[in-house]
Formats: sequence, C-alpha cells, structure tokens
Amino acid sequence: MLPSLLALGAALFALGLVGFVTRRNLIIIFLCTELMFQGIVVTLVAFGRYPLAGNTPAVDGQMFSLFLLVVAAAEAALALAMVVLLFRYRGTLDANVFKQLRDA
Amino acid sequence: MELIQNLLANQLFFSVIMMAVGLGVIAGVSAPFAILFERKLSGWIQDRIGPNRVGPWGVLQPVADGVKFLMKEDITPAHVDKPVFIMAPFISMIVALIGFAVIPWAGEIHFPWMDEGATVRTQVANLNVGVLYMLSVASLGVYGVVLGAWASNNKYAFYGGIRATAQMISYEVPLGLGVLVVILIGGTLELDKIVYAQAQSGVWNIFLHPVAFVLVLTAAFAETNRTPFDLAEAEQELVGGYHTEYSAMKFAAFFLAEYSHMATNSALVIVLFLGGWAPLPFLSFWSPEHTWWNVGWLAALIKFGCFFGKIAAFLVFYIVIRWTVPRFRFDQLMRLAWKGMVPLAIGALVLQVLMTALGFIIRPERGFAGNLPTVLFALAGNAVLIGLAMFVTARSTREVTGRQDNLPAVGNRNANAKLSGIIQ
Amino acid sequence: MTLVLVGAVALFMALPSGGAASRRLPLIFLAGASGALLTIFFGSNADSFKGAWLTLLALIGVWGAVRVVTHSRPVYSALFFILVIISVVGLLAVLDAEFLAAAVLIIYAGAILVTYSFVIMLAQRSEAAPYDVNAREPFLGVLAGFVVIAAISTRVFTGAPPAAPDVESAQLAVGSVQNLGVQLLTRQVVAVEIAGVLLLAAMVGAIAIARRPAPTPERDRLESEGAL
Repeated sequence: MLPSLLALGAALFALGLVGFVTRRNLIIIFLCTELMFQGIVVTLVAFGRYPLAGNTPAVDGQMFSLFLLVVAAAEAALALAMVVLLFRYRGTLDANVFKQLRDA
Repeated sequence: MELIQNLLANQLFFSVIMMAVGLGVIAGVSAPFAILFERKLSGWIQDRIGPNRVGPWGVLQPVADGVKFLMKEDITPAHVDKPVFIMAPFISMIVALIGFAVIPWAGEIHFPWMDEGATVRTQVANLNVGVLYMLSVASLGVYGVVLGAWASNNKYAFYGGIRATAQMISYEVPLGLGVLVVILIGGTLELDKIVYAQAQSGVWNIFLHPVAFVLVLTAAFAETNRTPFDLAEAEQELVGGYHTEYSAMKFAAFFLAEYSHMATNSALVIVLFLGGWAPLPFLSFWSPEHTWWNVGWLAALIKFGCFFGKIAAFLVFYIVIRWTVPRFRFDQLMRLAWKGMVPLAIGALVLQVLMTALGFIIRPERGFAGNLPTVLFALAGNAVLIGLAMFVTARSTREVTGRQDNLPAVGNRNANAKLSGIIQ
Repeated sequence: MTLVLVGAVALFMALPSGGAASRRLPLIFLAGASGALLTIFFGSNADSFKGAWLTLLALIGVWGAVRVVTHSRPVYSALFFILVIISVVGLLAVLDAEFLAAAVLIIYAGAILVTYSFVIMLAQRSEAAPYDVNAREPFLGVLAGFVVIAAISTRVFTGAPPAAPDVESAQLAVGSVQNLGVQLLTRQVVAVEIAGVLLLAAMVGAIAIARRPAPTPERDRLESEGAL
C-alpha cells in the first residue's frame, strides 16, 4: 500500500512542479504550489499510516500536515493580496511582465 | 418476515433506510412544508389570506408550484458558461442535502428480535468527526452561489456572488467558534454522543451557553442567505441576485436548496444546543441502566417526532424573522460578524475553557439537579459576557450607522476634489 | 517506466500552447497513460475494499491535477483543484485520518479555494488571456517533472525498505482526534504557538498590502507634484 501512495504523492507533486514552471498566470502558479502541498500531505499521512518496518503507526505525519495547512493558509492570504496589488499596478496577471529586477 | 427482521438489525441496511427517510423528510416534507408555511405565514403577518385555491386551505400549493417549475421552459441564456451554469444549482442542492448524513434522528434503537444489547443507529453514517463534517459541508455551500453567479455572466448576479462569498466566509468564523464551545462541553466530536449527553443529564447546552447559542443561530441564518442576511439576492438592488439568469427547474433547485439548507442548519443547532431528540429539558431520558427509550418502534417514533417538531418550530422561526428584521447594509453585516460576533464567540470559548479548568464539568449521570452549580456558574459567566459586550458598545463613541466618510484612506479632501476635477 | 514516459509526452502536448491544433487527443492519451499507471500501482491492493477506494480516488486526483495544470481557463483550473482536494480528502479518510480530512476540506475547499476563485473571477475576463494560452518552456518543465516522478517511483518500487505489517483500522490509535490533540499540545506545543504567530503575521501583512490605494495615472501625477 505504501509504495502506491508515495507514487501518488510524487505524481501530484510533479504535476504541481510542471505547472509552476510552465504556466504564466500568477494565480495558477500559486495554485500549483498548493497542488504540491497536496502531494506532500498524501506522502506524510501515508508514511504515518503505513510506516517502515520496525515502527508503529503514528500521528506525526498528520501533525506535520496540519502545520502545512497553516503555512498554506498564510501563504494564500499574502500571495493573493500581492497578486491583487500587482494586478492593479499593471492590469495583467502575466508573470513575464514582472521582470524589472531580472539580470538582462 | 424473518428476512425483514434480519435486515432491520443490520446497520448498513438501516443506514440506507435512514438515507431514504432523511431525504424524504427533508426534500419531500420539510421543504414543501416550509414553502407552504412561508407563504401562509407571510400572508398572515401581512394581513393577507395567502394561497387558498389549490386544495383545502391551499395545502396542495407546493405541488402546484412544483408542476409549474417542471412545465416551464428551461432557458439557458446565450452568454453563460454552460457547464458551470448547469452544475451550480445542483452543487447547491447536493451540499444542502449531504449534511443530513450525520444527523442522529433518534439515537439508537433496539428491536425486540435483536440480540441482547445490540442496537442500530438512526443515522446514515456515524462519523467520529461528525461536527467537523457538518462544518465542512457548510463551508462548501458557498460554491453553488459563487459558481452560479459567475457563470451567469451578468453583473447583477456577480455582485450577488461577491456579496455571498464575503458573507459566508465571514460568518463561518463565529459558527466554528460557537460549535467549538459545544465540543469542549462534551469532549467529543460525535453528534450522537453530544445528544446522548444532553438527554442523560437534562442539561441542554443552551442552558450553559445562551450566548454561544445565539451566535451559532445567527451564523446559521447567515449561511442560508435568508433575511436579514439576504444581500446576495436583494431584489431591489440586484434585480434578482445570483439566480437572476436561472429559470424553471434550475431555479427550483436553488430554491429547494435554500429550504433544505434551513432544515439542515436547524438540525445542527438542535443537536448542538437543544438536546436533539430529547423531548423535554431538565429530565433524564436515557442512562446506561435505563435504556427503555431505545427499545422498539414506538420510542423511536416519539424521539423522531420530537426532533422533527423542533425542526418545524425552527422553520416557523425563520419565517417570522424574515418579516421582522430588515436587511442589513453590507458594512453593517461585516461589522456584526467581525467586531460583534467573533469577539463574543471567543469570550464564550474562554468561558468554557475556564469552566473546564476550574472543574465545572457536566457529569451526565448526576442529572439536572446534580449539575446545578455548573449551570449557575455558566449562566453567571454568560451574564458577565453580555455585560462586558454592552459596556464596550456603550463606551465606543463611534457612529454605528450612516455613511462612513472616514473609511477609504485616499488622502485629504482637497486632493480628492482635485482628482475628481481632473477626471471630469 | 514507459508509461511514465508516455504520460510525460502527453502532458507536454496537452500544455496550453498557441500552435496546438487539437487539445483533445493528448488529453485522452494522458488519461489512458495515468489510468494504466495507477491501475498498475494499485493493482496489488485492489482485492481489498480499501485498495479499490484508494485506486478510484487516486485516479480522480491525478486526473484533476492534470487538468489544473493544462486547462487554459483559470476558473476551471480552480474548479479542478477543488476536485483534487475532494479526492485527497477521501484518501485521508480512507487512511484513518478523519480529523485531518475534515480540516483539509474546511481550510482548503472552504476558505483558500473560495478566495482563489474569487480573485480569479474578479481579475479575469471570461475569455482566455494570451498568457494562459501559451505555456512557458513546456519542454523543460515537463522534463523536470518527469525526472522527479521517475526518480521517486523507481526508488519507491524497487529499492524500498520493507514496510511494517498492516494494522487493522479498528485497533489503530492514529485516527483518533484525542491522540492527535494530546500530541499537538504536549510534544508540539511550541510549534502550535509559532503557527498562531505566523497566521497573525500573515493576516496583518495581507491587510497592510491590500490597503494600499490603487494607482491611477492622475494619482501618480499628483503624487509627483507633491499634492497628496
């Protein structure tokens, strides 16, 4: 059971990664980080429920996931506030527009 | 016969029965009942007669309404986002109905032909996080409104959706805090256990935390989008609100969802604060030694009737409130949630934590008299809470109604005047 | 491994790009690949009730995630993300983590995603914007994702250390809310406090950012003249 769940977590994480790298819409980029968080939640809880040999099931994975939720909520609040602000400055959500600090 | 008896002793089969009963009670009885009474009571309050043509006393009016909705042309406007537009009313409907899965209608039942001590639950599913399940279902309720509003591609509908989003997210906070108070009283997240504790001690949670009760009730009102919280469908301002573009059966789905939502929320409040199926407060209706209220059809029907009677009373209360309290303005709505209800709910939570820390814990086996000190302490604490709230309100000198000129921080008056001059 | 490769190629083709004539074919391709992959993954567990549930939920989740990444309309991306959330919640419930499942549903679906879709609906016209239709470096992105998933699944399926014997759900203390609460408020109490402070800081920060007035050309000019 554990390998399948880990593979699922990896799949969600990798899809989030692909989206994060390839999409250009700021909001979708943040949505993809949330997708990566989901992959991590699955992985952590799977490890907690089906531990490796020599361990007993524990709630540590669930606790980490709870803290992950806290971080995700904080991140969503800040990121969305910044996205709204950026949108008001430039009128677009294209990540390619915001590259003034980029090394030419 | 024996087959039926065996099936009735099986929890899975009984859950299916309860599912049918729950759906029948809510979609088949409560919602039409509520719609008929809404119209009759509204007529009575406004000194009209109300519907009286279909059947005696207009009893068949809900049937006529349903037929009308079915026969009408189902218009899908040209500029809507079709998949979401079709999905939205049914999301509303589903979310309003699935909350019933964890409502313990009549506790546990023991049938004479079952093994000694064996029972079946009159509940579709007994989750050990039942309260959280109700909260999460309530938090999903916003999607039907928001998606319907967005997909309509209509600015009035979209205004309605925006209002509904802000309102529902805001009122979830006091709802969750108020529910937390009840969780702390019993130390359990199972709705069944919460009801049994109240039925055993006779101390309904409303006697311990009237403030939290009023907060949860108000937040539940806001979650249903009914007056005085119906800014999302304010006809005078928004044509119709989030369902402006909907017609026929899709509109009926929104409509039924609203009434089902009323029934779901009433059931939640009843389970949390008003003793669920327990017929009367102050008396003990169940204890591990005396379980006669769990035996047989008759007891189950009486318990079910009590629960349903309470729901009916709540529905009438909803309707009376509709014609009593005028609609809030949006800033008043937000101020009520964030500056009024959230601090009060935190106060109630702190009170309950203090009670637990000081040893004022409800012990269901002692009955009402044995728990009297705890009840008195809790009531005194609530009185202090209300007093504090009134004191703070009286001390704040700020104008609480009317136009808020000092809200936007966009520079001084002269600059604003210059700005508007330039724009013109 | 071949299946992962097929999936990666299909994902590359499915990513929004202006030139792609048909978007439907790669999606079907991708659905087949991920479906076959997951069926193989969970095939060994499908005999049990639980395994069947996990397979179903995993399929829904991966399909939703693919659509989040590939859909060219942000609102639909957000909707498919809700689908992912619901399937993850189902997975957590099957894994005896009921409290976490409810928390994820309340926090993600009930709060975070509502805010996301709210911002998307406010900021975006209903037709697809050019920056949603064209992906940025789709080849390198898909390659990175492919390497990650290939590395992890190779390690997981071949060289993994043995797992502990399975425990029946009924005898498990993992799911109980009480256990979780006790652990949180004893061993992890500092972390809980820090999480509270983090949330407070985020709230203050969000309000501080959002309260800035919107810039307009007239306002900029007035500001440069020192009138404001």
